[in-house]
Amino acid sequence: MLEILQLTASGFGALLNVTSLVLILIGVCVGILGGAIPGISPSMAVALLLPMTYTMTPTQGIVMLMGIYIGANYGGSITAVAINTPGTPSAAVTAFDGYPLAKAGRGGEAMGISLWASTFGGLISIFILMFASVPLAKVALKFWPSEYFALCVMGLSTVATLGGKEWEKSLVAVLFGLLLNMIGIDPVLGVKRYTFGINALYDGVAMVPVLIGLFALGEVFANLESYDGKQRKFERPEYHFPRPSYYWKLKVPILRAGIVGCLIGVFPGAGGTIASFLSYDVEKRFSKHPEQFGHGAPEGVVAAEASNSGSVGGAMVPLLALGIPGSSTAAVLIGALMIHNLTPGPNLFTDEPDLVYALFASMFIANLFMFIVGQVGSRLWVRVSDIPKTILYPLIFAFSILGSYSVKKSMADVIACLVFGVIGWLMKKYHYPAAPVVLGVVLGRLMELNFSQALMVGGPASFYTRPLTLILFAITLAAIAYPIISERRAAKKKDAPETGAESAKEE
Amino acid sequence: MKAFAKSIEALPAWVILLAFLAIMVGLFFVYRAGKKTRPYAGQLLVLSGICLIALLFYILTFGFKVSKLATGATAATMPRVWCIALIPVAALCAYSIFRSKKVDEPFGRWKLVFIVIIAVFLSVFLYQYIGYYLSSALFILLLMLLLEERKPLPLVAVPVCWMLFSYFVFAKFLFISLPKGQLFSWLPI
Repeated sequence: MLEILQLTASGFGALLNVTSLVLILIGVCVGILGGAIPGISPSMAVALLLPMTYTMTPTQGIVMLMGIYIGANYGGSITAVAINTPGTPSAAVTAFDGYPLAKAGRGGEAMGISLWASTFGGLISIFILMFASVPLAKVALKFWPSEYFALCVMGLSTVATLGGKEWEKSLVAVLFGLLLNMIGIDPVLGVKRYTFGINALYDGVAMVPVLIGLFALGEVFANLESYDGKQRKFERPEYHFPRPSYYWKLKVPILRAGIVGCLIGVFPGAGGTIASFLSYDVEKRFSKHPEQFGHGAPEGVVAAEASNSGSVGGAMVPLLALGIPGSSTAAVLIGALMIHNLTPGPNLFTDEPDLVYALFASMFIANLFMFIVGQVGSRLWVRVSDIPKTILYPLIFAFSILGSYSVKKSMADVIACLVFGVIGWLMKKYHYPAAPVVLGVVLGRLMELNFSQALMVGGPASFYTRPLTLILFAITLAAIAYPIISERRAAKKKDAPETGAESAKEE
Repeated sequence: MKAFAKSIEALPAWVILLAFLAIMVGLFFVYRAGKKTRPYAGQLLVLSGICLIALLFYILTFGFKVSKLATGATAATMPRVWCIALIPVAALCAYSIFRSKKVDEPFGRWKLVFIVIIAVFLSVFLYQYIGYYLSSALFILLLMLLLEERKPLPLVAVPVCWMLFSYFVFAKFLFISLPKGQLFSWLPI
């Protein structure tokens, strides 16, 4: 424990220079701006800004992206409270109580709660991240290739099964991502696969164009389809922040929601939205006045925001310890690490300890900056929703194209970005989630490598004789079976009252 | 099978792409014609597209070189695993599409989306002739006009500001040289 604190202190030391602090501040500001603009998700904001980090050192690049991630998660709540328009999907829960508070003339209270809950929820999750990821990584270092393979399968299946009601589509999307990953030179034997005579495909499908295409362009194409040419005008209530002592009475809900958010965030694919909804439900159950939820309960805003921010630290646990992303934004961050020739996973703690602990420190600093920037600029941030779509969409296009070109200065990457933009649009339109595709692309190579290594080291028996491998496969099976069983139960429950009603009628 | 795989592999990429698109168009009409499949045509088409890619990938695995170094797994092993795994998953997905009765959302302004797609590909194609800066500015202007922006100030300011931003931030600050195009190849930027 002491060692972790010492290393984190050295991480702070590495970041206490003007360049790093300015980069974190820029990241936070850009993140808040991006989060406050409806239609720009945290993953999209990180993906769009990813190309800007190419010329930076890995630490500088990653801490800036972390700032964007943290800022964007909070930014969504500003417009949710002020104008009932969640900037990010997870901020939808914030609007349940934030907007009624604002309408009742308590906008400042809602805005302040949102900021304090976001900051402290985030800080709680960083502590959990620090003390959970290090031991987890130590365990993971003892894994054999067969265990790594099983772990990747587990990560993918959990993501796919947490895809909501349409989990079957998530599974299809994961397999699509894994198939895309097969393009290029085989990582073990060097055999070329599916290159179709195109030289650009020898290196496989480039990560950044896929990310930008699926998350940014796919979203814009979908928005263009429903574009009505009308710019909404919102009325903004005046608000003033309460005194700091006001927030003390909300300390327990903040702590609870921060922990719940962090725990939910650990599960791959869960993300901030599920964390917010679950935490809101938990807080409502704990509340003495559950009837106030949805009509302006401060605890409702706390639950949504503290858990949403808490999920950031949670999502980083599997990313850093196991190399498996906990959310779609974490998947983009994995791409960012890979671009800087870093392999996410337990080896990162031994190979790049400075980077890992600087990352922890940057999360603290980013939360602090977010608090200051939020206090100072809330009135300003809310105005970003005024940016006309006629300017926003063309700029997202321009940024996406420039970003995908910047990776290798390759026109093939630009074409790939556009193609994945169209694919992302069609997938979004027909409810096939894009995040599992990215996870398939990210984890596919690792899976193949470990699968081959496991066969070389222990033969096929290594997959069914090693207890840890079997445990991981069992968890995978349970993760796949869970939504099927719960769906059937829900269907039975739904049928039961109808049957009951019918029999009552007959009587 | 190996000969078949080799013959497909020998085809140019555009022929394979055209064949893929032709099959997708055919499937679209098949799904639209069926009474049961019509409300889910889009969802089924996306699923079919992924399955078609998997089928192509599976067939092509028979043409892969088998390395003498291979012990246990070859280059074809993992692609085959994923392709075979897709069979039950796709069947499950198709079943769930019909069972959920969640019909396709109707297309909104699809013409606008198609025009934008064509415009963006055209803009990228023009980089080699008129350069990145002019081509991207023209694309931004066109997209703003398509989105019904009619005020002269933003119509001029946004493309110009973007050109300046991309030049100073990417070309000058990040040292990423952007295509100048044949038209501006003489410029010392």
